[in-house]
Amino acid sequence: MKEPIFYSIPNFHINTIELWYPIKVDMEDIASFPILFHLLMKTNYNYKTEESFQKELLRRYIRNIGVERASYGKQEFLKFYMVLPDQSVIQDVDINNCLDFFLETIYQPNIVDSTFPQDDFEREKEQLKKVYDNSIKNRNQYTIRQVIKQVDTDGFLKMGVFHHPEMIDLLTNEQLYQCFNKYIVNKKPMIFLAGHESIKSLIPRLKEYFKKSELMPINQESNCYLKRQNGPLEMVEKKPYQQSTLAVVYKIPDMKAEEQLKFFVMKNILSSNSSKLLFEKLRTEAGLVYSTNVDSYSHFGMIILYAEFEKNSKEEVLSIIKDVVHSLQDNSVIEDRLELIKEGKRINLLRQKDSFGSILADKIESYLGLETTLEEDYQIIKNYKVEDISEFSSRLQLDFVYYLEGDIHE
Amino acid sequence: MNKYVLENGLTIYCYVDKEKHSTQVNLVIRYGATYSDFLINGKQIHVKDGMAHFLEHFLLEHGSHGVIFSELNKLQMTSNGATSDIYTNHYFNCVEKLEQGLEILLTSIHTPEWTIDNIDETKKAIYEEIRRSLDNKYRRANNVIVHNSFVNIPYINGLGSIEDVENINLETAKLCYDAFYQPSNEFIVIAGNFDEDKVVNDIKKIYDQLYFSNHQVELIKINEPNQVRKDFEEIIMPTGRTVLEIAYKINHSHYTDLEQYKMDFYNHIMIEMNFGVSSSFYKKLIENKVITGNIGVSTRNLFDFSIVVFHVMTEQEEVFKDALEDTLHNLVYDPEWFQLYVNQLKMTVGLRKDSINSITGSFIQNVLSFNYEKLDEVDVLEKFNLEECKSFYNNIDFSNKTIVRIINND
Repeated sequence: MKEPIFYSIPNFHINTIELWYPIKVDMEDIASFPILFHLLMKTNYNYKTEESFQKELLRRYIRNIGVERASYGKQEFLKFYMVLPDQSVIQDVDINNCLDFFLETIYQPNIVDSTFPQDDFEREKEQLKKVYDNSIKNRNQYTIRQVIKQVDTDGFLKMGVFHHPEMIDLLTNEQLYQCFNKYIVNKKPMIFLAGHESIKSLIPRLKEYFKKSELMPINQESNCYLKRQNGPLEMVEKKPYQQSTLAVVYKIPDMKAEEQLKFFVMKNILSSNSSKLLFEKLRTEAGLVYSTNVDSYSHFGMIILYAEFEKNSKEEVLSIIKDVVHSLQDNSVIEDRLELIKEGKRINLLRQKDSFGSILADKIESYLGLETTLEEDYQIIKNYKVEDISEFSSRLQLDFVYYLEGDIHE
Repeated sequence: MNKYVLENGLTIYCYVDKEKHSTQVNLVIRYGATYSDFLINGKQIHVKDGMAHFLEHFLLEHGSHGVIFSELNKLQMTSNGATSDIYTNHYFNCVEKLEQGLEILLTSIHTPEWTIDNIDETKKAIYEEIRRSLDNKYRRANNVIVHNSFVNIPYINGLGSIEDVENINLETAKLCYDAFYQPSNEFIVIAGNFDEDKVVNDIKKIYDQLYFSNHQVELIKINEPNQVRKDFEEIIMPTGRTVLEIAYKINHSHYTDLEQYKMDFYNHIMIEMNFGVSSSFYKKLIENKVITGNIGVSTRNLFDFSIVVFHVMTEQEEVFKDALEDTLHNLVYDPEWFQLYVNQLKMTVGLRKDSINSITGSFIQNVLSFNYEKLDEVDVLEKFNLEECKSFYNNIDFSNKTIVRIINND
């Protein structure tokens, strides 16, 4: 992609600019990203204090500005975004002025002698350590960490500070600056503008700004279907919580890229707006839980089913979860639910039109070849037969059961 | 927003936006978690915490249509219920079949199947919800703050304790239901793309088929002093870092509804000006390494009081407390920042029309908290001024506070 792309989405009162930088993260950089994001979004070279930076955001009517790491399987991006109100809401918004600020914030950070201000750097490191320390005491986040540690046979899902907290202390200010250079400086992002026609006027400026930058390739191999893990099938821990948590992991190691939508349907039968098979069995029928959750890792061929409950129910909950997954091979269980999911996809095509973010994400992800559009998905899903899904589901393999027993009762 | 009042006392508010593709329906009952003491036909009733929330669950699961969200999900509607301090909200969002959605929700909520088995079944999921909330340190701290803030009012939280819920019996639950779930105590807010006249007519027809007990209900107001019950408590539970929550109890009964409506906005501005990144309070604490991240500030109106809570992770508690006290007794009113934050609020309000959820959510809050039956408007915000803001805060008494410290149990 060489040229900025504009998407007309005129039924809302905002305009956005998004810059997507394809990245391939090295282990040495994993602590850099969360700290870099904070430092870039609090100050820049011209506005060196949080106060002055905040003042500029408000003065220029910038609704939102930020950066995040966006993952599509093994393909990752740094996504910088800025959201502005349209002039029909705020007459005084000057989009050129806002673009200046956006580009300064990304490319002219508050850096002196190739380092960020040492006090700011140390503060952000300390803050990240606090976030990490709190996460491992949070029952849900701890559970996810323990599960991923065991089942991620590729190592990709563990590429973050929550699996490698030691990287926080090892990080130096110089390394942080090197990370900034490596992933952002002189790199040309994919540029997307969306909203009203007025924002198109920024395209020539953006083309000029990035004309000498290096365009980074997108790694089209975003899929990495995880193998069976070699460790124990079950792990049990005890912690001082009120509730206990079960996480049950299933994989389809021989999954293929063209089966993504079957995976989507299977997951949606278990847990979605159109079908709540797991919830119905565990809560409505058995009364054992308040809520259930199914995390789907479609690019990795893995689903994780979660339930939280009082500890004496563990065996019953686990048995029900296994029965539910096994029942996905039963056409009589799937039949009506498949029809609901097809209908749900059709309805979502309409519902999506009320969400600016959803419309834009659909367009960008399709353009970059990361996902198919909702419309394309619907055209495929509506032709699925029950056997397509039951056969696919029969290839689910139980990979790991993690039980975190809460041993406190009040 | 157009208003209709039916003969039975039900109020319907309609906000039509033909550019939207979906419609949101909220059935709001003026019965919330804090309603523990009332007169029903002259007889004094006291219920423990958790009754309003219990009824929310019971009605969603045991109405004439069975489990409401299952039925609505089959029609591809998203739905849920929520109980707040002063109201219960049953709602759904649909793209098609609005008439069917109304029939299911309104009929089912108003035709519950009162059996002891249904009562007992409902309790099971709530027990798990309570246990889950007790594993969340911020919710635990919130319970303690509320309990310690009030001397004569025994309310702690909307879920109740497990014992409170265990003791709910059919007779009392039905009595509360009959008393509060009456058309004159309800209102419906509908926003999105729909035929206004038809919908009002449909709702009228549905209610004409329903039966309501005609109870006279009067809430009993308990006299509550300005002082707190207890000024400090420590909670020992899993947490990565020690958390400090400092809550101020502020009597706001002398403000009119309109003043309280305006204060809701002024509070946002005052919090940003005095405790946000632009404030001297924040800058000093950062420079002196007392904090490494933002300070959380929340406000909640309970009975005749505002409870303003400051959340922080710090190892220099006394320094933080002194700085906080100093700031509260020397509030800053900076004209430039004031105008910038007013502009930010104007932008927020101006952009609300992009989301019907935002429209209905803020409107419901206006009606229930301030008897303000209007949408927020930019024109009103434009009249906000610093002198008026000062007049609201000049005589606030910050002397009544309670502190909670959460420490790790390792």
